[in-house]
Amino acid sequence: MKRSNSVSRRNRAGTDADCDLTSGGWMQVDLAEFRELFFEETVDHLEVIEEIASAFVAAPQDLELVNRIFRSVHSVKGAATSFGVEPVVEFTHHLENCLERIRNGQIAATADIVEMVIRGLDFLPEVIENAKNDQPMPPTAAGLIARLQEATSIEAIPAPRASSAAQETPSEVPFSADEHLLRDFLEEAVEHIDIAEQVLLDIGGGAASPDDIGCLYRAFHSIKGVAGFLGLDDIHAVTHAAESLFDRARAGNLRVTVTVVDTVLVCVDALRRQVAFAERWLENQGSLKRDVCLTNVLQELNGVNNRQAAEERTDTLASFVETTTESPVARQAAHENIKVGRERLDQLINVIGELVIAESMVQIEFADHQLSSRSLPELRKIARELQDLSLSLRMVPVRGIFQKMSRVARDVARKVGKRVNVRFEGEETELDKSMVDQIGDPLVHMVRNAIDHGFETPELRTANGKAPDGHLVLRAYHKDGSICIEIEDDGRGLDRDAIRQKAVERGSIDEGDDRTDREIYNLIFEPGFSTAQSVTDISGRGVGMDVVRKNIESMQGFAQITSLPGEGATFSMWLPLTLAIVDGLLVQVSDNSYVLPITSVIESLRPEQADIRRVAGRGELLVLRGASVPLVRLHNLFNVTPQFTDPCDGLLVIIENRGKRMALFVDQLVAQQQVVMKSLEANYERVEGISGATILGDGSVALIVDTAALHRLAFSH
Amino acid sequence: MTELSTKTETDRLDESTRQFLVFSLEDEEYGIEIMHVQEIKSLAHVAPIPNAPEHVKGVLNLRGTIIPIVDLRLRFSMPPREYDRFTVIIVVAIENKRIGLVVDGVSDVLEINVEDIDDSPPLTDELDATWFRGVGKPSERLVFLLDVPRLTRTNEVSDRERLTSCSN
Repeated sequence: MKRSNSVSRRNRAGTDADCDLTSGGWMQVDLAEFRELFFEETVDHLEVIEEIASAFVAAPQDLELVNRIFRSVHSVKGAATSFGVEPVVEFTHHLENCLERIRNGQIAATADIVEMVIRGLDFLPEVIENAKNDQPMPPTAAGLIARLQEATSIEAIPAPRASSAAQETPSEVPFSADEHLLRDFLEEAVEHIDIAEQVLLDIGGGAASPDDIGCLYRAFHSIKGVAGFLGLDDIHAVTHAAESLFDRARAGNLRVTVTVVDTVLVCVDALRRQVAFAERWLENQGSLKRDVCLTNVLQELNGVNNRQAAEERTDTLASFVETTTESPVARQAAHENIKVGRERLDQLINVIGELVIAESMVQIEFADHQLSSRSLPELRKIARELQDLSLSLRMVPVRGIFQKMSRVARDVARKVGKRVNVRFEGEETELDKSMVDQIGDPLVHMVRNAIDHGFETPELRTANGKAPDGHLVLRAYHKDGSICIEIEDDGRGLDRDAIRQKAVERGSIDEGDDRTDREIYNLIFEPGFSTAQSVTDISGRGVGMDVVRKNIESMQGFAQITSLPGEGATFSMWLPLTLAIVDGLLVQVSDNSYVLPITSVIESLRPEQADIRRVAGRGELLVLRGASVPLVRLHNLFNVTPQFTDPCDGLLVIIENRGKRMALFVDQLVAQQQVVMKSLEANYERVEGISGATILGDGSVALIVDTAALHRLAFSH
Repeated sequence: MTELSTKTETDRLDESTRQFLVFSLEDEEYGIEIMHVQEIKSLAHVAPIPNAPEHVKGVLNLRGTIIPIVDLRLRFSMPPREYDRFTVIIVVAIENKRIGLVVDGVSDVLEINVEDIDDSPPLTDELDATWFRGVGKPSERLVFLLDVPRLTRTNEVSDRERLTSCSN
């Protein structure tokens, strides 16, 4: 096993643990010469720092940037320590401390902090320059140190004394543990962590039921057992502390208060980090990275344990009775899952699809030969059931991602001093697994925006006659053959005039430009657009919404905003159904079949000659109960030869999309049925007017019509 | 594991012969390296894709996957011909994509000596030479060897345009 020294050194950041470099042989060497070397070396670091700093200003919430600055500052500090450049050591140490806490989420990267860090980084060259000339630190820099110290001590976390000793030696976890075992464990651990987090969030500020506590206990207990076996001491230590906490709660010796929930949530985060470290360790085979805030987490956990132990030894009896009822084994069995690769799942779905088709072919052949079979209907039923089941495998409810968002909402609200109630609607709506993975980032952005920009402060809300807690609704539903995911807040709404003015300033629109509200709101999706008066760490720099839009568009979806001043805003994400099942109307033109998503179909009818008007320059119109609806010939749009050319011989399907109607002329209606959407892009490319294809009972292919695109196709020329 | 597979790869490259599936178009013989061929399928009804280039006949169902069907005659700007009982679809797989190629008929699998392969693209008046990676000349025969990966890029400029722009 190769162990990288630099990694272990980085892990001890924040403590003054770089003394190993100053010891030994170094001292005998002519320091003056090395000092020169130091100043040369730092030039490179300073360049890097400057570069990252400007990026950091733009995106202070980007932890990777914080990480990179941290690393550079740390390198400078390390070098300064080894070359004995005291002022630089001191200055970078405080800077590093501050960055370290931002990195670990111990302090929020608020505008103040960010400004301070940037100033610190700006001062760094000067401090170094002074040191080079053997002059003390500039007084302004000294002042900044005081501020940095103050900022980092906000949380007043005791210095991790005990642990820094332990961390002097790099972690001694042997890599003897079976790799597969470790991998399995990490996967399992994530599941347990997810469960624990969810239960914690459900508890929130309310009361924890014995079930909840039992569940939490088991989650931590399960992780702890294997972690101990595998020699993952850090994970073992944290889970052990958490476990004993809930053990005491189970026994009624501890009340699960908001503080407890918060502390354990921090512990959950720490566990996630540990798991991530271990994953990286598995991949790179280096040394296992240790979490510097682990000691704090442990202290906090044990602190909770001890504090309440002292306070509440008295009323144990009442709650003790409740907790003895449940059988942990039964609950655990219900959670058992088997992991299957996505490819194998797709394969299974395809093969079952084939089975269903083969089955209906057999049916047809039996009928052709006028044979009858008693087993055939049974086979048919089984095949269909199998297909339904297989299709459901790839679909996952949005609940999981919603739950993650409620965590984000909670954290953000806490950071900005607001209060939020999150409610889910339609969280059982199912979405293709691959899409669930992709909507995470856009959702996080929108949730942050809603809380940071949307919600007023509790005081202001009360003054405006609203409840002090902001209401955030995460909603999912099907409509128009799409899945819509919405984030609705009851905050102040979008400031139409401010956006408009900003857009004029930016030259996106002209002063006199007449735009609808929706068009104005959509301007915020432009790159670099922000109207926020104060830029906070969470949002407001105008980076983000354009990324959100890009993400959504890469899934062939689109975003929409509605807003009422003073009453709130709703961000909607419309996504296609890729692998989802479409309820469709099967229609035919010539001998080709097409599926029209039922969600956009209003009705179908065979018109009378008198109902159809031909308007010069505007094509054909259908007069339907007094209203005129443009008549569109599908065979023209799709360039096929139809069976009928007179609408009165064929059929008109009235479809509606986003408020626009049209009468689509097809040869005939075949059936209404559920079809499975398959991608055309997998082997071909995207086709305008087509959202996918499906395989019909006889094995032939029917294209699924993208009704929204039909409008564009029909009326853009 | 990885070393092993790299090794077999090299071994294959070192072999002195390559296998090609030979098919016909018009009066010429063409070859597709066998490793790209997934299967040969008889003609079935294809669902036409709206507003697709002329050579893309449509899509069909290959055991649950939708694959596009390209008529190679039209792809190579040859005169179209009625499909008959010899007409088949060769399903090729390249870089995770699968497409079906409609050809006049397949004849055999031919082992061609590497030495009998002329790597320079064939000179012909009628065909765009860039479709080919060389000509195989096993005993008395002349087989145009297709550059298969290029075929999957279905959205390239139609060959007629390409040819016209070349001849200008």
